[in-house]
Amino acid sequence: MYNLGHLGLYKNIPKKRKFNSTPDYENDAYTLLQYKSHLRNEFLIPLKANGDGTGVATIRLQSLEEQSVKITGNGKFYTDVSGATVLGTESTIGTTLGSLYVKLPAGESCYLICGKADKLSGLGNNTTNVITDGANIPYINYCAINYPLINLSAIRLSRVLNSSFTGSINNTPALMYLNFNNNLLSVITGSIDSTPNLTYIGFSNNLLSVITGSIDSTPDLTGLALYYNLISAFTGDIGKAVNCSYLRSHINTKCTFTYVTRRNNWTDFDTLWISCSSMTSTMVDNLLIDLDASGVTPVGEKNINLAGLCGAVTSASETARANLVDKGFTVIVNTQGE
Amino acid sequence: MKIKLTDGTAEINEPIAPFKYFVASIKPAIETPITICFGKTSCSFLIKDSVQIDLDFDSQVDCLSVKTDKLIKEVTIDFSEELKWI
Repeated sequence: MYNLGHLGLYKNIPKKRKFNSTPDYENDAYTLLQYKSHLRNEFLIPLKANGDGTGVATIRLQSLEEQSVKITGNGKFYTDVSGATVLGTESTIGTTLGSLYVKLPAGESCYLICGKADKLSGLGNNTTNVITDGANIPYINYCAINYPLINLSAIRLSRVLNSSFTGSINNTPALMYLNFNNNLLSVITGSIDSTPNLTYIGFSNNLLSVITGSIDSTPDLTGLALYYNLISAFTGDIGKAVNCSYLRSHINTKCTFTYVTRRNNWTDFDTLWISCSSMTSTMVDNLLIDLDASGVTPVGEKNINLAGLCGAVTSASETARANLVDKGFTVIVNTQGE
Repeated sequence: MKIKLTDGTAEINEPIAPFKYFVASIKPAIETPITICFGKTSCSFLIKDSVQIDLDFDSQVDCLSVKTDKLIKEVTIDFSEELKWI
């Protein structure tokens, strides 16, 4: 038998390559880097320069324990928002919401690398955005939540037009606060059935995200804002959302809320504005009667709007409606021409 | 749109284009409940002088009616198509 290998006849057959899990931040595609990061328990936040690159972005992150954050490429951390003093390419975040000041030369991209993805708890918090818009400052460029961030409890990107996130909330089981109101670029998917601790969901004026699930799965829910988001599809019994004082979902034909579990313990209420064909006349009447009987107090917008696709009221709720108006609510309903 | 009331009521049979919100004001300015119906959608609230109501009315309605206290002689309703941010 000839040993063909010795004759050099196999020299053009490629050798089996071993997967190199070391990230090459300059050359690897983002999708590959995400996979490698996952293996290393790191979380990447892609940044892109904006304008002439002279501005400093403030990126606010929080962790369950102190962890390092590195920046790749020509990105640099600074000591404050003035951008006068360079801190270097490594910084830290702690257990309170911390600020990273980042500058990136014009035309360039880089990554923030959080060293402990499993400890990351906040991309912003319930009052502060993870990043804000500004002239010539870097922005978050479609940051993907494509693998589990088991302790992430807050994402806030409200009224931010440059930055964006993608991914599924099915990867963030500890999520409590999720606010993408007035953010037109982000594409978030998933079901709130995977996030039982949610207290706030905001996807108003956000046309690309598709969130599903039942509010029955989120007993701590205090607010849901979903208008000018036409493709999300929530369901559930408003009567079970006992902590909710802001529920606004209209201009959306896919939600199917109901009022089945009657209760008379409604307290302060800001906004109850829904438009669902699943809300029958009886449900609308019962809801208005129960709100009135609870002695509910109007706060904030003081708005009860059960018009749109909801069933028409009947005379059964006439007294309740008058009482709610006397208390200070605006009451908007469909009538049968009464 | 200025609407003269008779015994606190009025009916207007003219088309109203889609609008996001409206501002209603009354004369004389006394606190009273008021109901404004756009077609079959009824909108009831307390008013003293002027109130802004978000409605997001996305289709034309063909009639409007007002019902309030007999002391109110005139209601002015201004419609806006401007999108509000939250």
